Amino acid sequence: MSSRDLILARVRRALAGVPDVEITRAYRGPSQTPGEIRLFEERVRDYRAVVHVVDEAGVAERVALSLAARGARRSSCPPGSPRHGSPPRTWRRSPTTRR
Amino acid sequence: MSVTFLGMPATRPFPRNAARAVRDSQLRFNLRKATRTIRARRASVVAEAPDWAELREAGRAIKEHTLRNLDRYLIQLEEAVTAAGGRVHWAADGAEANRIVAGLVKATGETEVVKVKSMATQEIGLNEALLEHGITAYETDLAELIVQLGDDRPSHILVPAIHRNRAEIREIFAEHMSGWGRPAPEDLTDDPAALAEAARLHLRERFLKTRVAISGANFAIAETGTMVVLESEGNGRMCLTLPRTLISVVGIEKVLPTWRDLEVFLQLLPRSSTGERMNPYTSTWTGAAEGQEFHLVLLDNGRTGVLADEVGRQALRCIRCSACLNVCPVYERAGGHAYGSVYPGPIGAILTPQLRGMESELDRSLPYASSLCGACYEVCPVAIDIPSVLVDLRARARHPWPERAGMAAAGWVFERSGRLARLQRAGGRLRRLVPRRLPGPLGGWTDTRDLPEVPRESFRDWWDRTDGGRR
Repeated sequence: MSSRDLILARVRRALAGVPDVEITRAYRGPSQTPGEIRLFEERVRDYRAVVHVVDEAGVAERVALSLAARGARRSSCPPGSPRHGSPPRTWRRSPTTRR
Repeated sequence: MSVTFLGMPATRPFPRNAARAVRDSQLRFNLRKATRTIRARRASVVAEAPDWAELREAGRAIKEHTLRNLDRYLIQLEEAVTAAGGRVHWAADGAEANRIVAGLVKATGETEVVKVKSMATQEIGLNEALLEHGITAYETDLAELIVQLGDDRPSHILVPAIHRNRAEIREIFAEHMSGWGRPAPEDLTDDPAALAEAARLHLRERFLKTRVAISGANFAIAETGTMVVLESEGNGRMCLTLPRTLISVVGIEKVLPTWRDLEVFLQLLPRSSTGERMNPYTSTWTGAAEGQEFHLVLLDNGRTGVLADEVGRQALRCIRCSACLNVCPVYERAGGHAYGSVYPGPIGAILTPQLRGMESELDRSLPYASSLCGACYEVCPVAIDIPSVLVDLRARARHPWPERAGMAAAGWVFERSGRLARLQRAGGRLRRLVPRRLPGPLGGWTDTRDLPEVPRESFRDWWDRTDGGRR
């Protein structure tokens, strides 16, 4: 007998006559209140992340500032990352490789 | 029946291990600090969820339903994993799982593997078994690394190095890292950030070099064949994605029917475990990624025996969160090593004797490693009634000889009504000789209690004599 058959047979023997149970999902579903960005911000900060809230036009500058603050000269982005304007000259987008 | 191995040899009984552990004041200090910190964090994030009771009830029911239909869900899981390009292996016990994994690693031609923290592989002693085949397994979880470098044993499900403080960890790193790879920096301090950085540099080399990884899984979704690993450090994700071959050893009770069920367990587990709203990294993978090989080893190792037990089977609902350890007054003082199993604390006290049997003195003593205060039941996110299982196991453990002798004598007397009647008459005649206090060591009991008075005659004699009170 293979171990697969052995395990399945043991399981079936163990469960003979055991009644099934019903699953009640009385917990809260996804939040219906919009605009909980403040709560999200607070939660992310709680994990000791640095959160910057900027508008779309400010993204490239903010990224460049954060990279410069780390002294980073190269960064890698996965395919499909948003391109917000052209990256500042201090850093360049390295080609992403596919396996 | 063969004896199930649980990662550690069963040696001295719990009370003797505990007596030794509580004399170690450093250990007690480390444990007290760590368990109380996690306990407080858990309490505050659980209090935040207004529907905690409902989540807990759903978690219990989903697990119970899954276990009730385990054969069906295991087959569904196997089909889904296979369809997604993975290979499924079944291991009836730890030795078979170790053989399967060693064979898979050998087939790759590699002699080194990286590991994601996993209870299942610890339970079956995989690292030691691989070493016999000339394969070195490198633990990549920070606490597991501390245990491995220190040639130590885990003492907690979630934080296996909970018994170590940072000064001890610094010493272990400085002394042993060089033997396993990149050495610790010369000027290593016991600052947590410096220790983490030393581990990061040591591990990074390992991740990039190693081509085989071994993991467990917190959940396995039958519907899609998806494995789920929750972690805090990101080491797991490195192991799951970088190597060419990934082998996951997963207990058969880890299966969940649907992807939707994760909405319950991804709320229950992090809050119960690390006291976080969400763990930092949650990785899911379905079958083999392009260019990668994926093997799933489904492990029984005593689980079907537990499943057959009407009272004890609820232990299989466990999601290894360790909330019961952190809240347990016995664990807080005795520490994890006293339990002689990779599963310590209250859940270990019910899981170990069920998986391993109660042949050894240690395993018979584990159901007594509790004051039955019930705190473990209260915090359990899948409502395992640990105290009830403990009491049930106590009734089944072989008891000490004076107790067995007393019970055998009582059984002999109660077996025949004539024997009982003769003994009762003898008792009635000798009633004046019964002392108010019991002699010797039994006296402690009567210090605060009166012995019940022995009646002049038994109820049956009275009934016969008076014809039920009519004469």
